[in-house]
Amino acid sequence: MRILFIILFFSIINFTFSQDIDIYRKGKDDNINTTVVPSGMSNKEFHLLSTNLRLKDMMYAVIVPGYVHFKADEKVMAYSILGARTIGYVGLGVAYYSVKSREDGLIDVEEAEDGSDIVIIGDGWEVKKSDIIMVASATLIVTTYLFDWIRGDAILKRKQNRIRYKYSMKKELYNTYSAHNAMSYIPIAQLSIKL
Amino acid sequence: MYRLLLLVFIILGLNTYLLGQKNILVEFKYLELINSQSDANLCADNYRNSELISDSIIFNKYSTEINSYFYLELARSYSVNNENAMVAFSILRQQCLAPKTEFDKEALRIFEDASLRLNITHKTAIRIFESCNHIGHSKASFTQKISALYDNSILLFNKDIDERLLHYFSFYNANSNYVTFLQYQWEYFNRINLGNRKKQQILISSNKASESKDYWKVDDLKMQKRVIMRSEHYYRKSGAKAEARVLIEEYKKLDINLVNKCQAVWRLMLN
Repeated sequence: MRILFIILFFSIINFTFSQDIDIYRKGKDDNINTTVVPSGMSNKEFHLLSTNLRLKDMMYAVIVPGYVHFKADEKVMAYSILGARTIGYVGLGVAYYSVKSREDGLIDVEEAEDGSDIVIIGDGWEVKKSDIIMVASATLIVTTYLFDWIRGDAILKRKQNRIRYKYSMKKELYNTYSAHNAMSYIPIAQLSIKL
Repeated sequence: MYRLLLLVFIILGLNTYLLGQKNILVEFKYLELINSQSDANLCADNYRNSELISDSIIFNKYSTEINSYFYLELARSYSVNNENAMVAFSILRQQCLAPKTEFDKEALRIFEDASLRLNITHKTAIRIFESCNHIGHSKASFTQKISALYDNSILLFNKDIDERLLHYFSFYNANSNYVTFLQYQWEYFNRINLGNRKKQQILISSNKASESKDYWKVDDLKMQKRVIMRSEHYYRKSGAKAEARVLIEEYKKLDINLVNKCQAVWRLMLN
C-alpha cells in the first residue's frame, strides 16, 4: 500500500510538470533554448522538423478539419479534408432538420404517410433517406478525421526523415571530404587552372 | 613584417576559397548519391540547396573543375522530376561557366532532350549549345561568360529559367560591362509581366545593338500597343502614375483605332 502511494505521488508530480495531457516532463526553459541549425536549412524545413504530433493535436483535429495536414504543410489535401468535413457537417444538419420537421425519431424506420422518404434496400429493408444522409455524413466526418490523422502523421514523419537524411548526409560528406581528402584534390585543380 | 602579413592574407584567402569549393564538392557528392536513388521527392527537396550553391558560384565567380561535375549532376537531378527547363538551364550554366571537354557529348545529349521537350527545335538547341560551349572553352572572363549565359538562356523563353535569371540580374548588372540592350529589354518585359509568347516574338527580332533606354519601344505596331498598355498597367499598379500618364500619351501618338482611343481615355481617367 505504501509503495502504491509513492508511485501515485510521483505520477502526480510528473503530471504537474507536463505541459498538456501528454505524460512527460517539459521545462519552461525549453522555449528559449536555441538549437544549432544546419547551414542551408530553410525556415519551413526547420518548422517541419520541430513539429511533433501529440495527444492534444489529436483533439484539435476533431475540431479543426485537416489540422494535421496543415501542420505537415500539405495544404491541398488539408483543404480537401476541410471541404469533405464541411459536406459531412452540412449532411448532418440536413438529416437533423428533415427529421425534426416531421417530428420523428432519428433512427425510426416507420413508414411516412406518403412513403416518399423511404428507400428499400435489398430484400425489403426500408430505410429513411434522412437516416442514410445522417449515417453517410457521420461516416464522412469520422473517416476524414482518421484519414487526416493517419496520413498526416505518415506524411509529416516522411518529410522529417527526408530533411534529417539530407542534412545528416551532407554533414557526413563534409567530414569525409574535409582536411586530407579535399586538400589532396582541389588545390591541384585550382593550380592547374590558374597557371 | 609585411611579408608575414601578406602570407597570412594569402593563407586566409586560400582557405576561404577552399571552404567554398568544399561546399560545391559536398553538394556534387550528395547530388550523385540521390540521383542514383531516383527518388523524386528527395531530389525536389534539394533543389533549393543546390541553387544556393549555384548562386555562390556565380556571385563569388568560382571557376573550377568541380563546377562542371556539379552542374551536370544538377541537370540529372532536375531530370528525375522532368523539370526540363531547369535541366536545360543547368547544362547551359555548365557549358558557359565550367565546360569540360569530356562531358560535352553527354551534356549535348541531355540538353537536346530537354530542349526538344520545351518545344525548341533541334536546330535552335544545337545553336544555343554550341554558342555556350564556344564561350565556355574560350579565355573570356567570368563576367563575359555570364553575359553569354544570359543571351542564350533568354532564348529558351521559359518562366522557371527567367525567374532564376532575374535572381542574378541585379548582381550581374552591378558587376558587368556586358549588359546588352536585349538583356535590359528582357528584364523590363519580365518586370511588366508581358508573357512568354509576346516576349519571344519581340526579343527574337530585337536590335541587340540599340542604345535606347526606352525598353518599351518595339518595331511591330501591334506589339508596341500591347507593351505600352502592359507597362502602363504595371506603373499604375505600382503607384508610378506620372510615368503611366507619359506612356498613355505615347500610346495616343500611335496609329490607333476608335476602340484603342476609348481605352486610352479610360486609362487616363484611372490615373
